Amino acid sequence: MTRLIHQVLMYDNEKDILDTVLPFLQEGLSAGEAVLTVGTAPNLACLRQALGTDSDAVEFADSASWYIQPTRTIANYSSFIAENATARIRVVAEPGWETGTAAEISEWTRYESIINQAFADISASVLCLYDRRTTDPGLLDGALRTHPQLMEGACSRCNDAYLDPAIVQAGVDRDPLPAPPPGAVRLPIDDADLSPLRSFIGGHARHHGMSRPRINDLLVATTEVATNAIRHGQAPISCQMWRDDDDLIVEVTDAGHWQADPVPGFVPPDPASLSGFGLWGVRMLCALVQLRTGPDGTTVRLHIPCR
Amino acid sequence: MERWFAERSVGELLPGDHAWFSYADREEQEHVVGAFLHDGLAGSDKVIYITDAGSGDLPDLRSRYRLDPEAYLRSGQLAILPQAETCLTGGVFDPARMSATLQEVLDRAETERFRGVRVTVDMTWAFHQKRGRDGVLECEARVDAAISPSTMAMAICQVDARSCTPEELTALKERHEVLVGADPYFDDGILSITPTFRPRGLRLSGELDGARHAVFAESLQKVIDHGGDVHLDLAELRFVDLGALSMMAGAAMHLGSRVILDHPSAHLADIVELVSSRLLPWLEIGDGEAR
Repeated sequence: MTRLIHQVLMYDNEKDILDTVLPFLQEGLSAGEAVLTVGTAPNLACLRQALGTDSDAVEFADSASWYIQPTRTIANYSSFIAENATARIRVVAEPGWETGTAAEISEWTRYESIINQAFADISASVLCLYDRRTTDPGLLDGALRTHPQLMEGACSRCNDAYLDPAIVQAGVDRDPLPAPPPGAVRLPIDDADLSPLRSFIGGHARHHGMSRPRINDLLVATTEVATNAIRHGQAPISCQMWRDDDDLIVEVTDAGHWQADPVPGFVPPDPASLSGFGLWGVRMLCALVQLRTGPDGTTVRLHIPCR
Repeated sequence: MERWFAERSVGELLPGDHAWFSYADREEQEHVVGAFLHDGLAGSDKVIYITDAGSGDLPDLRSRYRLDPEAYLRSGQLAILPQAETCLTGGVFDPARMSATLQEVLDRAETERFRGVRVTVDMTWAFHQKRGRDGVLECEARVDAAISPSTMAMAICQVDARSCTPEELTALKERHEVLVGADPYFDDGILSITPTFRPRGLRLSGELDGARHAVFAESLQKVIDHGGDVHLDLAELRFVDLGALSMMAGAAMHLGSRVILDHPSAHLADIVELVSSRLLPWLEIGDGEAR
């Protein structure tokens, strides 16, 4: 049984793309594989033109909407896999990220690493594209550590810099989070009834000018995290929230030590099981979810943009 | 004249209410009328059921409430009046006789020192009488005149929606200021859960989160036990958490019956769509129509 082949091409110009990506796509098409190309708008245009009429058999998606945040990206790929369950799969995947905060770079590096585990048993060839000219060195470095194969020209070779997913992921969710700012508002959670918590969150979110759909997302996500703390954590439980540039941040802390699995909630849960739904749903709703846990307690920090 | 209707559950009915209730099956009728009778008998009201079918037509008070109707019949707190004695003259439906009977019953109950009086009558048969709809409407006007000013009486006029035309139902509805519906299974001011019968399911109102998963599961089970599709009317649900959505999907998954979410808010529909790989195809979005 063929398993996932996850490789990366770091390109310097459009010629590199045509020399490598075009034959990669054509090989898949002639083998009757389900072919998906996710890319930046200029690269999609370039590949469509080069493929000519062959492009009709390829599904195209724009990086800007496909790579909004890791959990949604994984869900997008899961859907593509589910829709093409009987075919071998071939994907050209250009995240199109150029830079980000340290936390974002670390999340996307973890994302690339999770792909190796989450889709390990999928019969698929994936070629990730990174533009060496414009991409943050931190992201390029992350990509080097998370792709087992390197593509150079039309040849693929084993990547010596590749690290086991457990090692990559151990580095995320480890550094202490910056302390909440002095202006953060706080509400203790000492009752299973979370209606007052939602009034608190909703009121402050409106005060910060958050849009109605984002407030609703925030209420669902916060309720989920607080419910988890009530059911599985330890008192005292409290919630704080504050503004951070364009985001609102909501943090729920409790005194318990969450023995979570290493990458909880990134992969869509099995539809046939009723567990594992909550944290995944929270990650789907938020731009970023930061989890810190240890003997001193557990903190879950949710970031949602105001607009 | 401005027309207005109040919608109340059985438990919210007030003295002076002349309420209208249309049912489409025996279970719906038993649920609402049974609660009306039970509340009266348990609360020392005089209860009058106008029917020709004798005590066999009464909702099943024994299994629902562990009440023995015979005991209440013997004590006189419950009376079953045949139509011939209440609203027929020479075998013909007579609205004037009905209102006279009603007045007499109310006066007597007052002297018998009951706290209140509850009257219910199934008007379905009257539609099929000689004067049909006009007779029923006249009768309703007279009942209204007897009950509305009362400080101790309330009445429910029942009609089987299956055997009336839509026009007849509308005409009847307009004769009543109160529409009565089922009591909620649960209501704590934050969340209310009310059974619905057309289509069968639950109407959720307020906020549903982890603090109320247990009562929601219990109510959902009651609907599931009945079998068939389950409709959840979410029009008045301001908040629902992911756990409750998962419970809804789980019910559909394990039962093989469909669970339809009717009238969800735009945001709730978005959430279901967002997590659709997990919830669909188990949950469907609907508009309240049984299919």
